[in-house]
Amino acid sequence: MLFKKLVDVFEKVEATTKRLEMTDILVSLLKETPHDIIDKVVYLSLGEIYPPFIGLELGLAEKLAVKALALATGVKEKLILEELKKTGDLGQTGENILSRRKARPSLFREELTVERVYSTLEKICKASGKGAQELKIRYLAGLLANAEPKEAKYLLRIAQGRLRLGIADMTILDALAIAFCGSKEYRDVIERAYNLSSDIGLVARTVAEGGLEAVKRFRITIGRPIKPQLAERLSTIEEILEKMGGECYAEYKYDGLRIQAHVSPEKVYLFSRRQENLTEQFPDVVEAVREAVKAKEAILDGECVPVDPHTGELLPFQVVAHRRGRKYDVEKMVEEVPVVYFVFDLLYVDGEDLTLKPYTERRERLSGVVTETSRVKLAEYIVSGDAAEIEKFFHKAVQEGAEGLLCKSPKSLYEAGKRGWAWIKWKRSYRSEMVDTVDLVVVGAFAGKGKRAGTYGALLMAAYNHEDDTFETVCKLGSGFTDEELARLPEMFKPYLRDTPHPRVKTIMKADFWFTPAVVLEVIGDEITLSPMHTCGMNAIRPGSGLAIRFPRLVRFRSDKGPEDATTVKEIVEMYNRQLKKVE
Amino acid sequence: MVLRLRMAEAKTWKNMLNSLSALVDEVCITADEEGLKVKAMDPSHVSMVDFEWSRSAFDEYEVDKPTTIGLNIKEVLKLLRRISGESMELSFDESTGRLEMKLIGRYTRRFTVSTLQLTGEEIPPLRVEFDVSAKVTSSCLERTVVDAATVSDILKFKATEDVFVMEASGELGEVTVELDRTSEALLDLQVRQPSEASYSLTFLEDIVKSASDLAGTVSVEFSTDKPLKLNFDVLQGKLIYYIAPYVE
Repeated sequence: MLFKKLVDVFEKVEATTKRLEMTDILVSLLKETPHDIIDKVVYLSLGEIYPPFIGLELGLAEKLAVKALALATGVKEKLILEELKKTGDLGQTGENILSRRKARPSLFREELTVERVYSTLEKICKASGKGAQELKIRYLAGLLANAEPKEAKYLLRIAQGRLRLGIADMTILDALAIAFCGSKEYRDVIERAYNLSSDIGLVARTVAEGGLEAVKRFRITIGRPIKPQLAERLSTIEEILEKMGGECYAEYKYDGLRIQAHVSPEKVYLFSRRQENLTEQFPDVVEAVREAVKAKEAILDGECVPVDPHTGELLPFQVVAHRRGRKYDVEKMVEEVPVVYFVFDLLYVDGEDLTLKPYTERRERLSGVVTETSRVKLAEYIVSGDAAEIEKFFHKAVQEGAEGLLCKSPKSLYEAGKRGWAWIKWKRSYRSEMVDTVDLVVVGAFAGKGKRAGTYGALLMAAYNHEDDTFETVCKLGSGFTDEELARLPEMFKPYLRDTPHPRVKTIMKADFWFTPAVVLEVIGDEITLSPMHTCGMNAIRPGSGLAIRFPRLVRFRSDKGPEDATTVKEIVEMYNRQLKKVE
Repeated sequence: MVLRLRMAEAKTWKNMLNSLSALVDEVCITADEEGLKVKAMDPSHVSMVDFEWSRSAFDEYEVDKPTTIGLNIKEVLKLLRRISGESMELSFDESTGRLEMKLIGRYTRRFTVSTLQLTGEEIPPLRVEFDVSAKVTSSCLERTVVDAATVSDILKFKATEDVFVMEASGELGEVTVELDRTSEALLDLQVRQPSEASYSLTFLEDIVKSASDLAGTVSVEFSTDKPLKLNFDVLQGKLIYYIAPYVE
């Protein structure tokens, strides 16, 4: 098939703004395309070469594309750059230059075919290592040297990863339904195949070669990501329970990286929310999943969250964000930013498609397939229809570093690629940012793990209640210490050790060690949140909830202050109210 | 299927591959009763190579039916980097698709590489008439090209009745090499009509660097704004390169 034909279609698509017209144009293209290259035609129309999970993308730097154009036309780079300044688009620049210049420094001219364009673009994609840049330039130049001006325009845009014709995946699915099943009403069947495989080229080829029947038989495959189910959002638990029909699974909504893990006897794959392949960047998760999954084959859905290796507490999402897109220093990142994979769904196990089973069953099967380890855990949840109970759970989740809750209807099936009311997220509608440091009293400690074995992993901190002359807990502090400070802690607190909480300490938490209130530390956090786990300001804002500091860090030791000089509970309640702002 | 070649010097094989690596990373080598043949175009289609190494160049040459072998030259050359005075035996196993290179010296080394399934491009024969043919020493051409590349990207070839000129100019300066019939480096000059044409030094440089060692002389053929043909006088076979013209 001649590339010119595809270019004519691109021109027509660019000229229309109507989706129906776009669909019609695509339908006639698909009908004329030989079945064995229909996947390539579909990828090219979307400006891609492979489905996203392959992890190979075009995206030639403009500088290199300019060099290719210069090589193909014999026009000096300087002149090309001048033209580029005028048009602002290298594709247009290429078209202009080629239509002005007939002579090309090429030994042969031959009409470009879709097959040749695709296989050459593949080579550009795959070229790597020493000399790869020069090779990419030459391959592109070879295409441009044979291109008509209009062809050059689209070649340059595709090579740069900037085709942007505005064709949506859904428009292609519509066109496939009309072209090969006779009507748009079969879009849903084709879309399901797409959502189960994330490979629109494969779906196109399947329906072109085998019609509707072949698409209906479409199966989940290990190694091809399933599009994740997405959640709607509501701001009160009452509304959520109403939508859920009275009862729901309420799970921690972890603030991390959504990851779908595919396990086969040979390999483990990790895919992002947008079906990018993250396997190479998270070798620790690959290993952890392999260790935790008992089935031969399985597909898990979950969230990767950075965790403080010493205290086991969740860390802010930004920390894990550094790890994606990494090619180098992966080893170092594994050590510096350890993550825990919290799993909440099982989509497939040993040949069985579970996406058509209710959540209750999937969750049950999940706990049978996954053995919890230090690096793979089942997402925290409760099943409840009691708004007060869920709200309490919500505040606990937020205080522990989660974003809020994800509520799921017990009967719902896994709707790949869909955003619906079967899953509803409940995030905070208010937050109270922490702008000043506070001085808190150490009233207890938790035993350290891993590197911190033998010392404390975290300290239990309290504010001073002036009215009652008591100390009320407000956070667990494990960050901001130097290694030397950490090592010194047990020695430092030896004089204050006791077997039970000090009578002046009000606590719900159970620490491993208790101290007489004496040592004061200056602490800063991200925000002050409601928490059922801490006693500071209990019932002052909301019944059953105290206040807590989220993501607290040590600023310095305050040996100049006594426990009664610490920040008071009243001050913390005031700080909370003063900074309370609506979250957009 | 049998394919077995032996050559007294392994270096010969390395040189052959070198002369191809100037333009391509992957090649399809055809072996038939006459010898080894390669026709390949560089990815940008600016240049091509037409290569033949006749069976008489080998000490033993056994090929019972025409066979094509796809090779990643860069990878093979990496393996051959450490050869010295050894002789070599090449054999290809069609069933496994593996090529064995046996180096025989004070001890024997056996390198086996996978071959590639390449769909060789159909390269049509190039029909060009050349108005100028100048035979020069390879060393003269190589030196000129390297010098010219320091000032420009383009080398211009000019010929009149009695003079063959290569010149390059850029912001830094100019390089001119003028050869007349008295110059030792010019062995022969035939001019049907005065001509001039320019060619990319990027390609010229890659070619002369890898081919000059293989032949003492080279015929430079061209016409105004037409492709350039570089015909290196190798002993047992042919080594011809073409480069498309650079037109201002």
